[in-house]
Amino acid sequence: MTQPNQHLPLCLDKVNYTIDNKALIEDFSVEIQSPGISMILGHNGAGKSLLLKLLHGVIEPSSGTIYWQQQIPNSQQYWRTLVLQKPSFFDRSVRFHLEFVLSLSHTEKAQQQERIEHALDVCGLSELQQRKVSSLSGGEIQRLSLARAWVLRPKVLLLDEPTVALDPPAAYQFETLVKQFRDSGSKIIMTTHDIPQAQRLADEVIFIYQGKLAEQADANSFFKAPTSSIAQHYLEGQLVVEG
Amino acid sequence: MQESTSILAQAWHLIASLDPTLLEIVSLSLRVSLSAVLIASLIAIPLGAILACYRFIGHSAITSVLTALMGLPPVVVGLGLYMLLSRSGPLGDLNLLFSSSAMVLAQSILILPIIASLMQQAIGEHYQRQLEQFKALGARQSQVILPLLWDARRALITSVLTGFGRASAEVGAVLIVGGNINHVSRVMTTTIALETSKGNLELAMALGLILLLISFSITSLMIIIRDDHRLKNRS
Repeated sequence: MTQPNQHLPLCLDKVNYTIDNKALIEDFSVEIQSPGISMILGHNGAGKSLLLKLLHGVIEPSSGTIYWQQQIPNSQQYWRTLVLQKPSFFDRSVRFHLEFVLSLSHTEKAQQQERIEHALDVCGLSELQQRKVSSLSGGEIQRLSLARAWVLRPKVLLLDEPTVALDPPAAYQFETLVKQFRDSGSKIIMTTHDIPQAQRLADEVIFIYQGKLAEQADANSFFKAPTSSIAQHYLEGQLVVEG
Repeated sequence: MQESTSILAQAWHLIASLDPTLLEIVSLSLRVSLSAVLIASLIAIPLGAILACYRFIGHSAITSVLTALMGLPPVVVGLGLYMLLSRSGPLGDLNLLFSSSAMVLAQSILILPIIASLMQQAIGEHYQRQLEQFKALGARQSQVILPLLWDARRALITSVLTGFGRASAEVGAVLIVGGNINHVSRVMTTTIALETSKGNLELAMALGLILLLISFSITSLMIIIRDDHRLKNRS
């Protein structure tokens, strides 16, 4: 189903991210080499979003190194895109945003039209392409955010709690798209608070607690029997809430 | 009271009959103020956008100076320009003193900080709101300035209108550098001052009414732009 990804493995070696002498990510070492979807789980404030931003290169670690198959990330490499939890847009049309990111990545004009049509089609936005973003619903905005990332044909897609503000049908649509992208060979690294969603999507789980790696495991093993006590508590607590 | 009514009636007659002297003064005033707005905008809009999106050494100093210059006393600008443009001044050879060009220059200097500061504030708000997104997209400042200018277009129009309002109502600086010379540098504000002192209140009143109309139109336009924006945001 999934294909090898030339940008893996991703290696984090003793990564620290500190603000005002407070360690938000601490001594974080992990290696991600499997394709598919790696789900980052953890409590609020555990550092999930920060970790994604570090992986993307939006922010740089205070110490330690991050390597994507020997490449240090910087934010102007378009094989990797980040979809923020609260994406923002210009006061322009849906289509403009796809044209804009393609112009940033210096995609050839000849390819732009084809890529835009494909991204609009895949994300179900063809009908809405001339609409202004301010007139879109929450689900449509998240799909646009995904289309804006997908139009760049990224090999790695970083998603920061993309369905947090969506109702179940919109979240389901979004999940279907994420699976489609995974199946086309893109590596997905995603954060979520939604444990059932993580169970539906994850191939691998990275559980973090207070900025530190608590556990990294295959999704099936993790949800069946997490090895760290904090992950056990997390899952039990969520099950109580869900139940 | 009767005298006031009579002056008002005569002033209205001057406007309605399109009095050539009145038209000449209004026309020169508009030419000077519009030219000043154009020149100031060409510098102030890019300057405001750059200050909003870039951080560099001296950024805070430039921002502070621009903000302070928003309240620049017009007579001080007039005096400074007078000294520069007078025959013994460094720019005396240009022979600009007591010309409409000198008035354009004076008004441009007065409104440039206003337009630049308003633009910096407006674009800055849009830029800061999207800064994280721009980083995530790997977009450089130079790549986002044009779309941001479009997003801030209402603020852009409002700031240009504010500049025009300030320029057209200006009297101190243009009086000093223009000299209020008949058929050369006599604009609405300076003519009102002169004709009032001469007791020729009909022409002063007619020009005053036109100035009021311009001011009212600008304010109305700004309100329409603001309300249109709010309405669109709500819907």
